Amino acid sequence: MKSYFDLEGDGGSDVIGQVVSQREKIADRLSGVSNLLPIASGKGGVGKSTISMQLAASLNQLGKKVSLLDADLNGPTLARLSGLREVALVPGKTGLIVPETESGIGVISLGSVVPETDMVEFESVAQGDSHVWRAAKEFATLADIIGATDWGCLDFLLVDLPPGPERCFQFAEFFENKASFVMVSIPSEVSQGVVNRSVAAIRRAGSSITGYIENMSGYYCAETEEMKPLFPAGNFPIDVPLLGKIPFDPELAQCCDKGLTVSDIPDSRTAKVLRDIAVLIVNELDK
Amino acid sequence: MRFLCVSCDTQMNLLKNDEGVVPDERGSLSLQYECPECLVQIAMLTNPFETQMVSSLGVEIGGKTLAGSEGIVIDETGEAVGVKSVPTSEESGKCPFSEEARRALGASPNRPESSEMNAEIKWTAQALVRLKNIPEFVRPMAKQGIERYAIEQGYTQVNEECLASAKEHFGM
Repeated sequence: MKSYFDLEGDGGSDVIGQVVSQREKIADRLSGVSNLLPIASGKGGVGKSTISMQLAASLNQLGKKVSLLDADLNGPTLARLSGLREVALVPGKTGLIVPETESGIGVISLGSVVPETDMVEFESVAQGDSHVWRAAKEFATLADIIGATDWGCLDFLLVDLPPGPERCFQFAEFFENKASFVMVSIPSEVSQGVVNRSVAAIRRAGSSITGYIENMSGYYCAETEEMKPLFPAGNFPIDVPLLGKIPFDPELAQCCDKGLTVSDIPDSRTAKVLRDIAVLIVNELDK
Repeated sequence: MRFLCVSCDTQMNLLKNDEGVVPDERGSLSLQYECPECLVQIAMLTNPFETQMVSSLGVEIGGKTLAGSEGIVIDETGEAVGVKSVPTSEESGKCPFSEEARRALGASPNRPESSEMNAEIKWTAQALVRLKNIPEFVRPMAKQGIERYAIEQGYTQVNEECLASAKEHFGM
């Protein structure tokens, strides 16, 4: 009797054909993207989305064409951070048109169409037990969004990832090693531990990592005119190059809530640090 | 998944007619396969979790079809010139899975996709063709947003001019 591998095709169900077709569509859509940069951590609450938005603004200030994809489907925040919470998604002749901020940064985020008071829901015939299928559904939805979007020619596509080291591994596989990750951590040893685990996961999947950004590395004390720590210094060095340290900045936090960016506070310390990081990334990826 | 007729040692094929893929309202699917040699037929019956797993991969058994029951009529120049109703089991490699399963899958009542969502405004065929460029998951929400914009701006229908205006309005 023949085995599975003796047979060709799937007898007409065309499941494999559709998966291959989707893969080809994604590759075609991303063919004009020079650099695919997932912003990852593994740890939640370290500022991945804030850094994604602000790094995009800094790259944009360097004259680079940048778009952002909010891959955190369940907690999309880039729509608010970019000031694009109330835009309608408009279909173009060849694909979904990417909404842009006033400064020309493209942003695709479910936050533009799902109100912040609603959870993101998927249709299901399986009553309950969404843990069984939801991750697969999320990646299929993301693939659908990437494959349907008219990204055009970009210097950078930054992808804001959800938390979880296992997600880093899944996204590294999803992007088929075409991406170069930027990691984000805060100085605590707890965060450094999770980020190191994520670094191992991404390397295991065979993807490259440009470096890491230390966020909330301290705060500027106006009285003493020096940087002071926010967290006890962790002693668990992250095994990738440090791209820069971003201080906690209440002014930037206010800007984020209003959909403004570092380009609106160009003389701030944070804006300068982010600009240096952007230059470093451009130089590193140009090598 | 592949099916083998043990008697003939031949791969069985999915039936591409109304009997081929039949979802029921409880989320199960009946997939009928036939041996091309002896014409013996078997049915694979999925439970709702198995149906959901396949659906979660973003694929449809038997191939993709247009969502909803509207087909776009294209003239010889490739321009969309109208919309027609098509049974979802129509030929061209489509199967009844998509539309029926959408119902069986319990398409979310708060995210309706058809124009019943906003009966005040219609979409032209060309605009509907463009709407298919929006990923299926966000399509109902995007559609709602465009219709809201169209009504606010005094459009009586969503057409290409309205879409172009929305594009400009939202800074794209």
